[in-house]
Amino acid sequence: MKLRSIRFKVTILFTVILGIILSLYGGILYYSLYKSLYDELDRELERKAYFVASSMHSYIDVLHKDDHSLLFIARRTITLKGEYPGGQVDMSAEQKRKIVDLERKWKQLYDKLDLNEDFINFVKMTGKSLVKSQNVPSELRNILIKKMKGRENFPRSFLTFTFKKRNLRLIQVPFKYNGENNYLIQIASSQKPIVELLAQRQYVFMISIPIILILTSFIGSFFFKRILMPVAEVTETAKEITHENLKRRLKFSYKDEEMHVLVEAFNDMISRLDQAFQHISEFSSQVAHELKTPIAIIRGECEIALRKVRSQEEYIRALQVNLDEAQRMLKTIDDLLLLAKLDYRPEIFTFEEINVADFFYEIHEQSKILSSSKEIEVQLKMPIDNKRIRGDVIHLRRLFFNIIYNAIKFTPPKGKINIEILSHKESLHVAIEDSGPGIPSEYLHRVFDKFFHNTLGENDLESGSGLGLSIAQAIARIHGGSIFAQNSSHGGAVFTVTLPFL
Amino acid sequence: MHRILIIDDQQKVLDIYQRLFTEEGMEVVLAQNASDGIRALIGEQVIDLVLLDINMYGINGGYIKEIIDEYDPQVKVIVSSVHPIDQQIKFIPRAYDYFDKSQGTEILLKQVKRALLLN
Repeated sequence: MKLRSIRFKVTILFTVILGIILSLYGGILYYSLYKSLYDELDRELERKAYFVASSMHSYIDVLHKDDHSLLFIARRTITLKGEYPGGQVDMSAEQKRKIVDLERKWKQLYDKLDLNEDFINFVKMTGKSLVKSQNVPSELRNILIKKMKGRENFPRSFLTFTFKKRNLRLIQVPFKYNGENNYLIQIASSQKPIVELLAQRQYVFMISIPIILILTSFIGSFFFKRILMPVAEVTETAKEITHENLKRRLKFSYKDEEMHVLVEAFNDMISRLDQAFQHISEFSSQVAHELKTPIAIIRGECEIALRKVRSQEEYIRALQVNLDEAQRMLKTIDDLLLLAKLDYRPEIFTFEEINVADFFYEIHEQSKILSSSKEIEVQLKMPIDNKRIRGDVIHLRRLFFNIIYNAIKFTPPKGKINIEILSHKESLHVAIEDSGPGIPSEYLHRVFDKFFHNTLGENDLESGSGLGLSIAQAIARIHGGSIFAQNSSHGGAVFTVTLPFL
Repeated sequence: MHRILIIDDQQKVLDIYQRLFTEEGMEVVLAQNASDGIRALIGEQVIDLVLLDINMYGINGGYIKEIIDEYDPQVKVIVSSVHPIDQQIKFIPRAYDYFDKSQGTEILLKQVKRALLLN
């Protein structure tokens, strides 16, 4: 699996997140176990201390209340052994019976509480140890007595300490006798079971979490590969698509939203490319076609001129025709280059604020000059306001002159051309109407096509490249406007240019 | 005298062909659009050969060819165009011959002479 792949990143991310979550969760579990175990130990110690005390109190209730009795009671309770000092206890039968009953119950409780595992110490607050359980070596007893100091008067106190590498938890409670709190019960329990349990639990976590992570990352990685398989399929198909087989499309069988959208967008893109290539292809053959005609004429003229000796006038005429055709080809090529720029790189335009009135006055003046040879009248109708449009002056001039040249070409001598300018709310409308024969309705929508030659009403086809109106349309589009062609009620053609206001 | 009808929308092309065939001793009738062409065809003068330009857009050369076939199947038609020959054949099948204008006047002359059974 490659390092720089989505699959790897997702697997790692997923595994890391899972790892963090598992660790946190494990940590919480461990901590809560820890706390509850230690709390439980303390509660246990409390209970044990309580039962020891209450057992002793039960004894005291039955027997005499004196120091010797207390010793005996403590010894019986804590060690389950011991005799009343001095031999026979001065007890009534009733007392004896009660004691037996008490001891029986205490023995049960003692076993149930596991008190024989614990270190029990019964001391006088002065520091004298009176009774200790049998498992307490004297070293420990001294330590216990030391720990007592300073805490004698607390109602209850806990302490943790170590003895011979063992962690012990100690509880210390005062014991009332004869109305005085002179004594203390100390019970110490080993924390070893807890420590062992926690260590084992920790071990389990530290082993299991990495194993889980490794497993999930492998399984996850496997599934991610399957999930991303559609992407691989798309990639394979994409590789096969070249400009020669743009007809291929991706199949649509993916149900996932992202894949569906991807496939759709991809197929649309291929369609657009396909169309674009077709356009270019058609355009190329159109260009070849358009340039072949002047070349055929040049060739024809030359071949005929060379067939035999001709007169000077004939040679001059042939050369003139060839020159005209050469110029026609050059114009066509220039127009084509301009069109290419307009279609693909309109940044050659420099936009500026144009005063509408000034702009069209100038166009009007020049149109009158151009049309004078055919004695065509050019009229301008324009509202007098200070409207402005945003545009490239040179190219806008070209736009309008292309239309006006056409108008002049198609209008018979002594005809009329009207330029009418209307301000609508958001855009400027310029209508150029001529008194020519108009555009046959079947050609109306094709009039802006590249190389479209309209041969009606014009006997000098050669003067145009057929690109004038295409160029005009492209310029209008770049300005955010449009051109529309229709026929007027008088029969002539009307070209309407729309340009947005500032 | 053989008579050739030339139908082509470009004046300069008509000029060239007229001089070409006239110098070869043929009579030439010129037409710059479909209606003129058909009028010349069904007119009084007998036409031996039609040199028909096909403009893929605009005048429909195929339409003219059909009329020629209907009117007089004996008249030979040579299709001429700047388009490649295979495209011309697709556009107007079953013409007598096809001429690509960029091939030059020598070839055209040969084709016309062959059509008129001159050497």
